[in-house]
Amino acid sequence: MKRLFTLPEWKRYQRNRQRYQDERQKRAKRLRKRKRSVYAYREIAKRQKRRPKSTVQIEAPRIFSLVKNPEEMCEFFNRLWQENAQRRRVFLDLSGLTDLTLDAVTVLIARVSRSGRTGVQVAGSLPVDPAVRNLLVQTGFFGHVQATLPWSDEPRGKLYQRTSYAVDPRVAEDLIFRVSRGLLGRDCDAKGVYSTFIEIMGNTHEHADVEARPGEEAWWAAATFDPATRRGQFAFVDEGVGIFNSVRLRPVLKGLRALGIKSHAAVFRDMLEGRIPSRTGLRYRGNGMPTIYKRLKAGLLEGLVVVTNDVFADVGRGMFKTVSRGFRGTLLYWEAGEAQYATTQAVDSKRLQQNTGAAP
Amino acid sequence: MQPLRLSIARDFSRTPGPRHESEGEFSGELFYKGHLHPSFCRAREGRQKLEVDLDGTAGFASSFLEETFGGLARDFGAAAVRDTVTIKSLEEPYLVEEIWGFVEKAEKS
Repeated sequence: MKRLFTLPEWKRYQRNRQRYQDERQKRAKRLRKRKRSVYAYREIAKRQKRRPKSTVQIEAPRIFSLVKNPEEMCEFFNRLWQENAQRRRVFLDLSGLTDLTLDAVTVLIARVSRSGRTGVQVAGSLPVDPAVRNLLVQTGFFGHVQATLPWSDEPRGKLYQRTSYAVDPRVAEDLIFRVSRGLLGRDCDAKGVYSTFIEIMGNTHEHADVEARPGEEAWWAAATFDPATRRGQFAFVDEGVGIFNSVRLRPVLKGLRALGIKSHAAVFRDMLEGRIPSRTGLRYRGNGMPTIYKRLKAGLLEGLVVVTNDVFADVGRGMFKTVSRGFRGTLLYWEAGEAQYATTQAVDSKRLQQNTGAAP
Repeated sequence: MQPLRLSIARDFSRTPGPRHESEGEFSGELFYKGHLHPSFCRAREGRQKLEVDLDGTAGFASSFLEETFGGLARDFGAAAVRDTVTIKSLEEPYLVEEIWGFVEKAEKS
């Protein structure tokens, strides 16, 4: 063996060279891998390009409110649902809005969110009218979508979504307090509003979709405070099939309905008055909607509107009518002012912390 | 004799929830099992009245009240419930009538 190979300098040189070569090979391997993935990505992109990706533009009704404009709004949301089902990208033109209420914003966010979950893109424009645009901001809408503009305003309202854990008393309480802070400057209970939230959350959990298991339906709850009218607005929407596709009505009513003698609107009125039994078949169940109606009659909430399937019920005004365009799911909208809050005391924050549910 | 007192807001939760535990937090089922049933049994053993205070909560769903008071009537009979239980609700006086309605209905069902 040559003497050179036994020298420590040579051994050090070889070690360093080996390290360099190892590193070089690893780098080449990494580059090859990256190149392959880039080619694969380009190939996928090419294939996707070949597939037509049409974007459908849907113009929103100028009066963007299910409460004030049910026919046009039902048609608008149905169109959005259909496009979503066909996996088409949608551009919502909201620029022409002249009026907007919380109920429609809540349904919109529920539908847009559903599109997002199914991988369908929904984009949209902002209302041109600054007052309407501000109303949209105040509902908390932009907390749930990707906005390109910075929204610095602190919204007066809040939108909540829950899917698996159906009845959430804390959400109801938080929404009530949000309104009372604007209305009275402190945390106050509104018992009729709370009761309504819990009843309707429970109904969604049990009945929203006959196909789905209890607790699988998503619901959205929202509240906002309008300083101009000094009223709190509340909305609740579920993504189920609606009351008339989920409730097993009595055979007599079913027969009447099939003969066209009794409309869904009339059946819904009976339901509010507690004349329709629960689908569970238990006599002591099925108190949800009748209790909400009782609270309305007692003045614990105001302006209750229910939209479900082909029924539009302005329960507060005693108006029950059939809409030609059906609504998928169930929407409840109601209001509360100082009268609904004034009967109760301000809530002590220390008492709130005791809300543990611990055994005695 | 002093009645036994059970306050839902103080002893259980300020935000009573749905009927069953599977539906969400602070359910009627949980309150019945953990609070109302044992208190009711204690009151009966001691030949005392049980005063259930509904005040101080955020409100009630009918299903919560039906599950608790209706459940009591289903287990012990409406007469026993009427003899032992008194309901205090200064903030929502209409609930007292509703609860006795649930008790009657539970006995018939």
